[in-house]
Amino acid sequence: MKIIQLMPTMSYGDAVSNDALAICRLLAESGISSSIYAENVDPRLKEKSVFLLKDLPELKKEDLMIYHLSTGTDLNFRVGEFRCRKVMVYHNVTPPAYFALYNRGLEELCTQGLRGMVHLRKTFQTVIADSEFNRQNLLDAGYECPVQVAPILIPFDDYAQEPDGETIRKYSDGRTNILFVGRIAPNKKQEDVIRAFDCYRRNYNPEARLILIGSSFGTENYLEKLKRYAKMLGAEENVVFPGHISFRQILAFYRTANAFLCMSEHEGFCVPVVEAMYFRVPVIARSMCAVPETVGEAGILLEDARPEPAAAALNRVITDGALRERMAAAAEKRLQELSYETVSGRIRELLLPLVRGAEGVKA
Amino acid sequence: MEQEVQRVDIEEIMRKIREEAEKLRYEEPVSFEDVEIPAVMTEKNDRDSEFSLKKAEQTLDHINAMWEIPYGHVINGNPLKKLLARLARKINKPTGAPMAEDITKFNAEATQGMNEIMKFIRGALKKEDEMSRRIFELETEIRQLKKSAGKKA
Repeated sequence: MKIIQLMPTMSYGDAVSNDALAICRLLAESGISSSIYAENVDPRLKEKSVFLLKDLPELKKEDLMIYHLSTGTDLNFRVGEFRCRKVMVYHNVTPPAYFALYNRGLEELCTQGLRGMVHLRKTFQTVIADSEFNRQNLLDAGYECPVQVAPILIPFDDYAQEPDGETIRKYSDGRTNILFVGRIAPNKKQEDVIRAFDCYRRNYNPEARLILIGSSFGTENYLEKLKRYAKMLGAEENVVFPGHISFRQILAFYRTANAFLCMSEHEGFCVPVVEAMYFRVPVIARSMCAVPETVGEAGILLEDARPEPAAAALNRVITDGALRERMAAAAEKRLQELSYETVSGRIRELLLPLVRGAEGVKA
Repeated sequence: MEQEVQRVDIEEIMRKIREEAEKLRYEEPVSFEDVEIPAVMTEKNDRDSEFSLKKAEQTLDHINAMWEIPYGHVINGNPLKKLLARLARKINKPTGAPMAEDITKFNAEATQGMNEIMKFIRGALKKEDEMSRRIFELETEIRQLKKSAGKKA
């Protein structure tokens, strides 16, 4: 029996690709070998178990395919043609309307992604969703197969790497650093982060700094609009867009942050809030989509996008040491629930019966 | 019991935050919606930077998603606007539809061509990577040989 994971693109350092590699690893830990096939494979990926889709051997009905859906692709409409048993891992597709003003290509890609998701509703034996929010998306789209929830497998070991020293030195200058990490994209609502920050700096801390980390590829005009907005608010000197930076620099920003502020309007899981918890950075987040379930009780959840409560929350976490300690303890507890051991145990629970359930299978 | 204490704690914190928020005064000097969207090319000022496979693949993904230009887009708006738009589309159809078809044919060929080029790029990058590894192995071998030759002397 062959076990393969299938996706359109295996990128280097991308959350979906990392998730696939982690699943490969956890199957190997259970003595089960598997491979990953993708239409496009980043040449920087040196993993021996990653191959191009064109090299996929014929799949028989006892074989198992784990399909990762996160974007629009022709592959969404071809998956049903494979004869093997099929499972999907659903990472969510951003609603296309967010890109309507900024990038028609991305809008079309997301539209195709959602069409693909609906098209596949009768294709899978079971589906694993990253969050209850994602699970509900699928049920609303007409999925009737079992849809189980298992969080993303996060590579916590990677965060123990040495952070970039120069960034640490530059941003440890006594100024308060407020951080948000996430693609510069309209669904992440970086404008609301800037607005809340502006309210905070005007009322409490004029020297504070807001650091917005994330790639803006495909949303360059949205990034330029955000920069113009910050300038028109008089906060040009306080709002930093580091642009394309290394992983070690990202680690450095987490280590020098005093608070993490997330105002996203659409998230399927939100890995950065977990990263912030890992680095003991107090999390303040808008309670939308999958964010409240990812944060749990380890952060302050805001009811809406109004800047005043966000600013008051920022001031509270930055000035109240006892509150920060309590939040760090709650984060520690939440991190245990999202640890590699806990999440991989959950995924094994879901996948192993399927792996071992085929006729004549020895796993 | 511990969970209940924690819940009360969170409620207390939120109550204090709400109270404090009530006292804050914030008037946004400008609304984000009023800021103009600048016309920025997706590869703005990027002609001299290094080749990025990820950027190229993402652009190609977008092109693969949007090469087809259907003559009839979904018409949104109020009923009168929809009716006028449909009428205009019907009147233009003899010239518009063939034009859309020609554009689509060209886009399909161009997209296919770019997909082939991307395959070549990936193949070339893979070969380059293999060559770099081989060069590294040979350099290591040479260093070791020089070391042993030096010892014998």
